[in-house]
Amino acid sequence: MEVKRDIIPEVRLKEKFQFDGTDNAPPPLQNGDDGNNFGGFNENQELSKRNAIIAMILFLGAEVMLFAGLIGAFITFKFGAEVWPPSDQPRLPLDITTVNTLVLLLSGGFMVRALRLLKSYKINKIKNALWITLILGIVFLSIQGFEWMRLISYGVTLKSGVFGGTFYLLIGCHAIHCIGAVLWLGIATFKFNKSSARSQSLNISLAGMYWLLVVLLWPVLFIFVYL
Amino acid sequence: MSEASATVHTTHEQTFVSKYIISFDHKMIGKQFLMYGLIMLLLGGALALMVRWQLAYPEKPLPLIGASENYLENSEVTTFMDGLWDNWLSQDSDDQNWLTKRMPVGIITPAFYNALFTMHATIMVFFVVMPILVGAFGNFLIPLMIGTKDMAFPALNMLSFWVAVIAALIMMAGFFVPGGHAATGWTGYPPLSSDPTWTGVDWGQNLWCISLIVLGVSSLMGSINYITTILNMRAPGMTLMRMPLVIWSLFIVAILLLLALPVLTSALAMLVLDRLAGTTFFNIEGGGDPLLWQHLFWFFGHPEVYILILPAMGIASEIIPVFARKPIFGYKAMVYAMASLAFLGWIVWGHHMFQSGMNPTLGATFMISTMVIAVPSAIKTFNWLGTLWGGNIKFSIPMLNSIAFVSMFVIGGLSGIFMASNAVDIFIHDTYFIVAHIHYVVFGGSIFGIFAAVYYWFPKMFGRMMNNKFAHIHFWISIVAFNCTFFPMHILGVGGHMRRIYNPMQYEFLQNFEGMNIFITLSAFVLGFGQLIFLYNAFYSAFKGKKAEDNPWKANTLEWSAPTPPPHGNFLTPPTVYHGPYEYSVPDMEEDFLPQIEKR
Ligand code: HEM
Ligand SMILES: [Cu+2]
Repeated sequence: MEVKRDIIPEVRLKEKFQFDGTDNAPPPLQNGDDGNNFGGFNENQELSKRNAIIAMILFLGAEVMLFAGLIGAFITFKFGAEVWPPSDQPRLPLDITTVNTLVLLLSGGFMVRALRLLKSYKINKIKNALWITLILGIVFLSIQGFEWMRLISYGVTLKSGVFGGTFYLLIGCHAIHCIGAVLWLGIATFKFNKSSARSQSLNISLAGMYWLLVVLLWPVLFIFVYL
Repeated sequence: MSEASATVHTTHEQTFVSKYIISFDHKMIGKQFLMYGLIMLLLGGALALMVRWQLAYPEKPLPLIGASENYLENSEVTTFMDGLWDNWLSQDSDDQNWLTKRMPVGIITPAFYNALFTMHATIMVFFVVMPILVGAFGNFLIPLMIGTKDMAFPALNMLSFWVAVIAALIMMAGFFVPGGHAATGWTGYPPLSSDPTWTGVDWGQNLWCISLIVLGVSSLMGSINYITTILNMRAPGMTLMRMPLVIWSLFIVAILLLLALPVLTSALAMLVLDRLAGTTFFNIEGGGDPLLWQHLFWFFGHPEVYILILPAMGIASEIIPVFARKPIFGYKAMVYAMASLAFLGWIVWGHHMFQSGMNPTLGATFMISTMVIAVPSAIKTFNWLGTLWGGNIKFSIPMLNSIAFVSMFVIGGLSGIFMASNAVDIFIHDTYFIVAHIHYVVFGGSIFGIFAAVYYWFPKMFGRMMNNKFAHIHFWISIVAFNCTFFPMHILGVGGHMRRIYNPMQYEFLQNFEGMNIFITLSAFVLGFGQLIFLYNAFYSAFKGKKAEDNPWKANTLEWSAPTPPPHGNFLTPPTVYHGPYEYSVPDMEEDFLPQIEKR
């Protein structure tokens, strides 16, 4: 049997490869490779940064699947029911939630702006964008919380059939993510200043990615649950 | 996460705790997962033997711990156990102990029987096969075989193990709560599982759900780590298409885990809320739908069965070329076949629900997609055979177990195609035919894969060889007893023997099967006790075995180029990879193999 052999020439290996996800791009050789720093190890800053970003993307993928399960359940109930919402249940507040959706999307817009600026090290601009993101996020959460209180007073609870159950499960799960993301982003923003910009920018990127997931999930939930 | 990854230390003195317990070293974490899985294997096996006893000798006292015939008939205390039972049972019913509530005089009660088969499957799937194949070998092999020092996130890796331990402890706690452990089968179908009034099981089922949610977190951490490591930490020259197939399989499995487990988590969360918070997701009276659980569970469940088998496929693909001294036949086809198995696995879940009253058109769709899965499975099988064909085969112990894997997987795959046919499944659904299928793929496939992997990588893991004589005895006992145990189940199934029944002798049409049930049980005991040889061999050899060379099998992959056992940091010099992993019997070379780090 003929054996196919493709041998990477020494020269090519000495180049610094850029990882582009394709087959032909092995991870880079480290600069100043002293034998302590091979195969991509943690001492290498660039590498652990890329590791963190990949891990975050994967984590977001898992989160999407979690919501997919919950949304799947919701769809089964909503489209399986003859009347939805059930006749004995109050309508959900559409107007204010629409406004709230816009608030959250706007917040996402500022997050994107902050992420875009991150490489430029314009610290003040970045910080401003981040604070606006956060404030809008907190406004969103407060309005949500307020509306929840009203719904509970109207008698929509976990126990009021699948309508209440799925509402709180789905929207509640999003709310928990939202709170977590605000806390993380808040702490990251707080820590972010001129001297720490280099070390903190990764943290901001990760928190920002997480925030964008929270923002982008919301319109999907809004369309299914409220409309 | 970025901080976590910076915590790995170079060589310095390690304390006992940092070396063996809170270890950040992927090799130690792999060994921890192996221990964990083997301990749970003993427990899961013991439960299975109790189930088998009840099926062959319904409502007879268990051997050794049961009371004697004489005691049952005349209440005369003759044996030591008689005395114990007599003493225990004479107490107030409130004071009675764990045993008398579950198996008075050694006779398994129906409620306990349900918990037994439920926990047998739960333990075997989630706490044995997954931790060993994915946890132990994933951790041990990935950094070594792609040529890096450790995982991308060593701290996350350590956490993943300890979270899995917590999940196991929660699951074990279920045995000791009032009402007994979960008793709905490992599939946990509502309304049986959602409403305590049906089974009388209260916190057992809750703990079952919570444990699996926690275990999901552990797997999530593990899979993120595996994927990141494989994508980003490969040694120079280790392109994706030069990766060993076992790494490919673990990569694909990690993706499946990442995407499938959250779906199970969502379903489990709803089940827990139904039980504890009064929601009605699976309760028709509140507008819920029990079938929803089946959809969510099997949407996770079918990818899950591929999580159980793919690493074993990778292991066989690794071992067969080494002992046939031939390159793997169709490397790329193997990779694409695994990828398409993983993809198709998402669109076949309905084949578990043919009898749930689904729309027949939908059923036909699921039937077709399921049958399509046989194609990549067949590609893999023929590639293994193609690798063996004309090879210079050495029937070493890892090889024997790998060949057993291939053969048993073929039988299990073929029975799968029977069940995939909607019309046939009406007849055999929920019979012992399904049980036969499950065990041919999971025991015959995954567990023989585990055997092969342990025998093959043991020298690298522990620096010592396993005893060959014990290994051969273990192999032949296992393969014979396995087939004697599980093959007749096909016949039981076609004869209408339902699964998950307490006492087959209650049914007139099953009474003819008594002899076969007894035969199966006896074989199962041989099979079960045969595994003690394996465990003894592993523990004995880890301390007393013959010292292993660095590359005892003359294999190409990178782990064999590392010292034995590999030090902290794995390689003495940074490995560089020059070609694929299966260059055996290369023409006009002195040696018949060409390690990946060697230039031609
Ligand atoms: C050619 C490949 C396969 C086909 C066509 C196939 C088909 C099926 C079908 C149709 C069922 C449902 C039968 C019923 O409940 O009526 C089933 C059940 C099952 N299969 Fe497979 N299967 C295949 C491979 C595998 C593999 C590789 C594994 C695991 C490693 C596996 C594990 C299981 C398990 C655990 C069940 C039983 C689930 C339960 O109800 O508890 N199968 N299979
Ligand atoms: Cu399936």
